[in-house]
Amino acid sequence: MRGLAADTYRELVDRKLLWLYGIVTVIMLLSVFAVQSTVDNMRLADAPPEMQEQIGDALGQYVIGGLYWFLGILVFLTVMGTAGLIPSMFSRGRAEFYLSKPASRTSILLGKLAGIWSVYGGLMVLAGLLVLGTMVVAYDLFSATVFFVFVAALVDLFIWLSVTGFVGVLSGSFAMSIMAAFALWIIQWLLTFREAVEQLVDNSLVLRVVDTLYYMLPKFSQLGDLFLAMGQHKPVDDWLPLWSSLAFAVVLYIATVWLFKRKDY
Amino acid sequence: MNIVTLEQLVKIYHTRMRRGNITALNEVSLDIEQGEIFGLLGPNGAGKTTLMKILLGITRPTTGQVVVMGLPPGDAGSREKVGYLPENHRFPSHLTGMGLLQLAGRMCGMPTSAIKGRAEELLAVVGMDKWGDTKIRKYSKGMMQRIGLAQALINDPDLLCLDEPTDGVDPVGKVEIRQVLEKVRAQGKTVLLNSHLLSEVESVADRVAILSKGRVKRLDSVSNLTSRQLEYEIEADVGDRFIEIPEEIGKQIAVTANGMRVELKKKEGINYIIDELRQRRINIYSIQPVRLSLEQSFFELVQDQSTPGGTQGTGGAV
Repeated sequence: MRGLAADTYRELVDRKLLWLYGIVTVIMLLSVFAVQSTVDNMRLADAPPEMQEQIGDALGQYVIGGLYWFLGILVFLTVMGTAGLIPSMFSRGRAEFYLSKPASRTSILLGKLAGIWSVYGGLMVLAGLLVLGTMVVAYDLFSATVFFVFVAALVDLFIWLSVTGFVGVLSGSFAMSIMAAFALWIIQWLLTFREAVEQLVDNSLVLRVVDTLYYMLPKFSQLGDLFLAMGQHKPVDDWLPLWSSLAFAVVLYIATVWLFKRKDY
Repeated sequence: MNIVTLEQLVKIYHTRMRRGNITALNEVSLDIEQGEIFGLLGPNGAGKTTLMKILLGITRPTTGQVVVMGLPPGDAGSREKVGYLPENHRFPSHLTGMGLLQLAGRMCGMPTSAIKGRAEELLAVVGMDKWGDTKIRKYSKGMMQRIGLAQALINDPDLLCLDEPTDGVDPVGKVEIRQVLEKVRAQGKTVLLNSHLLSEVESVADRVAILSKGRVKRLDSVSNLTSRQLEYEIEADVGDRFIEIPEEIGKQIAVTANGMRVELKKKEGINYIIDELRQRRINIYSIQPVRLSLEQSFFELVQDQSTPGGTQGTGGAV
């Protein structure tokens, strides 16, 4: 939807969230420099070539892991910072402005969501590239597979936006969107202990509910592990976390559009 | 040619809890013709804003037919040449006035090269050319209305829907907005005007629909609504004389400073009055039908509806 991405960008520039991104990025850059001497000491160690290789691998994992956590924080900030955008856009007095224009409701909603994903995702990628560039210069390390970490962050944001967008349209409330995002995060984290629950609980109904939720809901923790493994050249045995999480998001986006098209403002 | 056609339009809001359903519009039928300024009047909760939102596809009707520019309002194409200034709007506050017009232009599918020029032209039209680069959050209420009118005009609409356009605008601004409306009408465009200010509607509207409790109580031209068809003000040297008028013709209802006021049973009765006055060698200077302000007419109608056995409108009543 023409105009909505630019509008989202203007909205971002106007908000204090940009400062928060900046502060987190500066802290991350300072951390990179803070551990530089430790990395140099490791390198200077008089060790055999096999050990040097192991040290290189460890440093590589440190770079990817650090970048992953940094982008994770930015995803968290983005989810919190954008959860109110959809309810605000379609609040009383503002919805009329957007909905009276000659554009379909589907294109208005998806245009805004795409605008949020691309503008905020783009900012995350920029901040990530800045940190990665600094790490490469400081540690003299680079591997192209590190970009899987960026993909992980963008996929995470895509899934989170489906949740906050859906609840935002359904309830029209910023608070509800935030609470839904928190609730989902807690439930999906608890579900990572599914196997332990199966060993402890005997009730078949409970087990069925746990199983259904596990297969239905996105699996952010496992998604992170999956992309980290790809970034570290490790084999991926189970693609279920990726496909089921993406399917969850797509279904939620379809439901959001369906709901939005039928709603009175 | 009809720009808007409504047939048996019903809108019921289903509410939760014990309040039951709210019928916002009940079997509303009306047509709005090209080139007219059409006023929507009614007390709060009469259904005026709901009607406008249905025309724009913002709210969906429960039953009934709605056609806007030849298309149902759910079709985005019906809004291609429609502009809308909502009531109590809250435009995105992170934008400047110019930014808002640019966003509105883009959402209307206008070419980027055309938007800036059009936006500058409209900022001048609504007297906001010096404030285009200021954030909307810094605007006063009157400035918000002006920029709202400008965004409604960005796509050069054939149908302009204005919900309380002069709300919060100073007297000078009101005159300027009225001039804009007259200019729009002169271009052959149609305006649907919803306003609580009856004098404002009276001064610009061609036809008016009066809504009450979701129904159209009266639909007529402003001149018909404001004239009392069978009451006449006669300027003549009557002095304080009482003129006897047969009951089947009518009655003299008042002696005024310049003459008298009569109420007739039929229009033709005015000839009897003239003959009677001339036979008595009383000079007649003018005879005019008594006119009410739209406000008086509106209150008479609304009060009439609220009393048991009140009339259900006449003439163009629906």
